[in-house]
Amino acid sequence: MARHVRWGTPGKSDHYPPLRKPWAFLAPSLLLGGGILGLLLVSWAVGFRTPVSPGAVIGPHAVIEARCEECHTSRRGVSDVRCQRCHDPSGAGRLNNAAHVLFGSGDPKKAAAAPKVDCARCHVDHRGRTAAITRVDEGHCAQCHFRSFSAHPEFAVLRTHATESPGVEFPHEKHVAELAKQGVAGKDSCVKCHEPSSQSRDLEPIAFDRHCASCHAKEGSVGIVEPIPQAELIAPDAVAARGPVNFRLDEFETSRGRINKTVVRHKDDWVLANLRKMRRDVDPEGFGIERGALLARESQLQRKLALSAPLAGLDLPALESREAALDLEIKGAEARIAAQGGAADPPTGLARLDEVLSAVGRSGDAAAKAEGARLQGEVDALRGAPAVPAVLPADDVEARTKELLALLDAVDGADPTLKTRTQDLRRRLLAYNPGEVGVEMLTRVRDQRMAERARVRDEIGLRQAGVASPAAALLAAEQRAVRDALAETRRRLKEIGEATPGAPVLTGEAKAARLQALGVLTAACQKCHVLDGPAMLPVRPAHAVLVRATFVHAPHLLQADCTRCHAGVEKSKEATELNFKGVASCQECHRPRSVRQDCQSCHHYHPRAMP
Amino acid sequence: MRATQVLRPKQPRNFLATLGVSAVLLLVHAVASRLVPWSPKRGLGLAFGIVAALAFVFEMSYPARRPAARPLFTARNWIQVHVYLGVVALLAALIHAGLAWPRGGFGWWLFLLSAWTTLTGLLGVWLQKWIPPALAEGLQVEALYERIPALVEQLLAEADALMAETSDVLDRFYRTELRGRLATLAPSWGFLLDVRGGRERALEPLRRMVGFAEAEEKAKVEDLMSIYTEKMELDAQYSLQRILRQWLWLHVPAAGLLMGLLVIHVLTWVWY
Repeated sequence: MARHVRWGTPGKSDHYPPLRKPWAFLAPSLLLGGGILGLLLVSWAVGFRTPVSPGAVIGPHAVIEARCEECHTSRRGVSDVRCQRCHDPSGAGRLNNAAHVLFGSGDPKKAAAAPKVDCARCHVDHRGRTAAITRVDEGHCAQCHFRSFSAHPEFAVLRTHATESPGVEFPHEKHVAELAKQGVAGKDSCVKCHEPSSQSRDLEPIAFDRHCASCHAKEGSVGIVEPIPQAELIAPDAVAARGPVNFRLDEFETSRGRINKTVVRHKDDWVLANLRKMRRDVDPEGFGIERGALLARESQLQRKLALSAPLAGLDLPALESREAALDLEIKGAEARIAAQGGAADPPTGLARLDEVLSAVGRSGDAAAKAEGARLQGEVDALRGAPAVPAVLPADDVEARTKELLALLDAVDGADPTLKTRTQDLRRRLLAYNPGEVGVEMLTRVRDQRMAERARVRDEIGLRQAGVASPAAALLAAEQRAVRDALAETRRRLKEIGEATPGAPVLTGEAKAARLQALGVLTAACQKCHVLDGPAMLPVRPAHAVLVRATFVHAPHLLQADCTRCHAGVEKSKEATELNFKGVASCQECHRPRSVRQDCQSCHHYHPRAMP
Repeated sequence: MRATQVLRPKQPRNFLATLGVSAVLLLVHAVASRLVPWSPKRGLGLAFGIVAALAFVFEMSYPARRPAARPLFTARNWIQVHVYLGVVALLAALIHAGLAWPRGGFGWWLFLLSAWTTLTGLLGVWLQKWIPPALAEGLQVEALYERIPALVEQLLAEADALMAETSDVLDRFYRTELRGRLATLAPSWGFLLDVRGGRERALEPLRRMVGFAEAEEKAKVEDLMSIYTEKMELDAQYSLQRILRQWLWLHVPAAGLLMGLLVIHVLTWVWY
């Protein structure tokens, strides 16, 4: 009989086959996962943290890659103060969002109200050794600004017509026409003076000796000085006695109490020395203001330099001492805030005056009563008077600031022992922002000090945890910039000299005569330079108009002729004219699917280095 | 069974719901990443990460469906949720990372394990839909996986008994060519594509033997062919049922490893 394959299960089993246990796979799998978890935790605990790192850090951070606490704080993520240990070691706070808002708006109130943006929010590391963490997602900018370059507002300098005088009179029209006569035209006539730089990708600044002297100082002279009464001037030999000068004594002629100069050089030391003297004589107040401002800047820069010592460079006792000092400053600021809280309110002030008058009335002293009656009259007048505007106009603030600076300078001169105090007052005066009430400024100061204290405390914590100081703090360039600015300020201070104590203030005819002499003295200079009263405006040689953006000419000059952006420059009569169409000319090329138009092409979030 | 049948979802409603949820997640990411730079550490990026982590943890509770299927009431609900939520969890994890490639070793491990676990899960779904119908439609024999070795032994015994009194030629042929094949299971991946694959070629020597055999032995050879056919069907049963069971080794340990790394990932996020 043939065998047939049966459908279904062939035969029955002796027992039910056992079902798989529900955890048959899960238990060993969880054991595997737990094992890996334990292994990683152990490796983390012994300091081998690369396996749990989300990715390699950038090359410059590689040396601290295995020490997470160099950047991370427990349970709070990447801490800004840890970034600042290397990147802003002086604690200037110039890299945070408040500094960015201040840089953009110039308004400390806005800056104080700016939201905190962590460094790591934009600069995300652990993306590999070669990742460009300075390139930031455009979306971050769009959080506060516009989303597309097509919506870019007009440049502030054009919008507000705030072109600063360059300090010289320069009609492009005349110079371009002169060059055309020599057969130089078009782009060549521009680059004749605006030379491409060999050092940077921009244009070299205009320099008299290189660009102007060939026409304006033939044989080294820009003109002559007509005879001036000798008594009003510093004698040439007296100027020469101060140090090296750029004139010769045989260039002078004296006759009947008058002196004239047959050769006037550019930046002639004798002319400049006398210009400063006459300015001091004619306008002592203006001189005091200028000197006061320079002293204030010197003081401010000195403080910046002192603060630029990196915290990481201090030892533990020095850090603790700084913490204690900051504690005191914070307490002081808080006390002043509390005191201002009671005094800032006019009704409270008037109520206090009422209390004083009532006490005087009860005292029975006749003299006090009379004084009380006088005060009462003044209080009544105050009550009836129109409200004083809360904010002074900006011009008034500037004028009063200058007055105060001059006053502080005078105090300095009168009593040198008060110098520390006057320096402090100068700093405070410069820190004051028009429209900002005292409490707000004090609050800002307190917040700054508290942030500084937080950094000091963090550094102390790191030091106690055995984390060493950074090998190198990125501060050298900034310290150099502060030192350079300080040297320049001191040079200018030395240049303008000091006020002559007890010198008579010139008025009437004497003043007019001195101004006339000043006009004669600077006649050659005034062909180009601008005299503002008795002072010559400082020359600002083609400084950047875009202060919050970077523009380099080199790549643009490859693409277009100068007049494409600076249309009509050949007809320009004033040096203050920008001859620039504005953002529309940028948008001609920087548009979608053409030249890049991201924010970082031109802008930088962080302000440039101090000062 | 055709491939289109395998790809057809058992519960179209769940499939469509998953597609809809996935589309919504992608849309949310597309819109949000245009408005705000995407970051896995904050905002929606973090929310997606938390959703993915919770979903993966829930996926690990799949064995808890037995013996009581609460809170999803039935085992079928569990498997449906397990499959579709797993896909959504992977998508949420990818969106959490900004739909970008990982940049570090740890990130790659998380990415690869998530992808591997999900893909092996989907492979399991395919196997579960492909193998049982293939076995039912292509084979006559049905056998429990655990009983197959015993059944093979029974077949061998039956064959030995059949060949007890045969001619030398047939006996030699049986001993040298066939008995070894009947004695041991011969699993093969080929059954995955064709459960009857290789059968004709394997039976060819027996068919030739029918031509050589004497008349009274032809019936024995045909019985031997029947036994060998049954053995090959048991081989197919064994191969495919083993795949159905062993497939889990691809899926579950990777999921356990993923859980371990996920814990580390969460701990480092909280700590750092």
